Amino acid sequence: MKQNKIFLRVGLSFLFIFIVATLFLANLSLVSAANEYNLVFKTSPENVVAHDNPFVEVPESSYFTLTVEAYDKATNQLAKDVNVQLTVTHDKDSLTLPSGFPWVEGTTLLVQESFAADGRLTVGKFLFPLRGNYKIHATAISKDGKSGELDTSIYAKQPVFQIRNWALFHGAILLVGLIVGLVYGKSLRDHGKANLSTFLTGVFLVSIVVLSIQFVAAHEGEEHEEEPHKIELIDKQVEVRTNPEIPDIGTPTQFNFLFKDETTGKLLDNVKVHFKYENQEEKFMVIDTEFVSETGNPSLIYGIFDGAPHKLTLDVEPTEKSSVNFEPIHREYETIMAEAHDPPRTTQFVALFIMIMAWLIGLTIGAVLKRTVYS
Amino acid sequence: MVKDKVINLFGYKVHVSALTQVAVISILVIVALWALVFSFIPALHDPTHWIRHSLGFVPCH
Repeated sequence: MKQNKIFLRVGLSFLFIFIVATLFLANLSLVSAANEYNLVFKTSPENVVAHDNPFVEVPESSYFTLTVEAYDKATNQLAKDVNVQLTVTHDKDSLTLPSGFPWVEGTTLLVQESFAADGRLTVGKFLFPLRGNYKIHATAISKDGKSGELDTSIYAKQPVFQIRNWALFHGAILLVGLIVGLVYGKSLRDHGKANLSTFLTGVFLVSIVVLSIQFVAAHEGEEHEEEPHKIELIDKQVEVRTNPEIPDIGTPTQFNFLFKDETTGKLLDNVKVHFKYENQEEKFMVIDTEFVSETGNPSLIYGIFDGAPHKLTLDVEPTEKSSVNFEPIHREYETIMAEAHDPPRTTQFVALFIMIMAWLIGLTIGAVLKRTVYS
Repeated sequence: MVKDKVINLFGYKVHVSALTQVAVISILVIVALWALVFSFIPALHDPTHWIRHSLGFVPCH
């Protein structure tokens, strides 16, 4: 009886080990099955600098080419006939000070998918609208089930001219405060230390009251000549719709396309799409990219960061694999606009607080200098 | 040393101390900065919009 129990325990132990080992090996095979491709992400130029001032002419150096290459691990050559997808998402946690486009912080700026006969996805011109870290996620998958995945990140620096402007502006506030402190320092001394501290506390309280006015009388200053409107551009060959229907800053906009044969009305297959999105007001490109769709109904997600009217240009042409050799299609859609919003109050408060602190520090230094050095 | 000022305001003599003068200057500076950051017409690309964008670390929209 006792022997039977021992055999039973040993048998159960072996069974348990067998199940665990099987699951482990199955898991290993799953992992390896998802790793036939080695993905490489590159930017050109390598060092990324953001461009978050739409009023400054965008130099060619502000545009970056993004490339994802899928290499077959078995051959170490670029994979053939794979679907490559690239996702670019801003990381809000990488910012300590506010940015020019607070609604865009932490949002997905690009999701592009392309059928890549040569194993390569390319975004020709991309503008990074914010400084900070960008999370890069890329996948590649073939029809025979091979796949690969990549998660990495890049950092976009703040342009030097903006750091200089910011420092000069706050330096000027501090300097004016210093001069006022020097001029009135002696008079303030006569009022006594207690009065000076009361005064500084008073200024601080006034600044809080001034800030709180915004919470009471929130303004909606959206007074464009053109209003953001539903995007639905339809003709016999091309249909463009967006999700959300009215694009919104801070919400990634999905552009859905249908490319059809003009005569039969059927979807065109294996089409090469050239997508250009341009700021019409300040005349600069925000994204210029190409992708191939096998089905004729591709989509592209782009995070619009500016409320200005934009022009969308589409050029569609057949590839070697297209079943219909159609004439290239060219379309231009003007005044596509995204709903703009006032910045979040907290970010404005932080920016104003730093300016007020510059003023108070200058004033205090000036007053103290006058009272100690020049008295 | 800046002396206290007496302002004739609609016939009433208002005594303005040096401390009050500094307070007034400070409030004017803060209001100007507030107007820069909290523009009333942020979407109209007014000059404050341009300044905010050129500073980089100041939120715009």
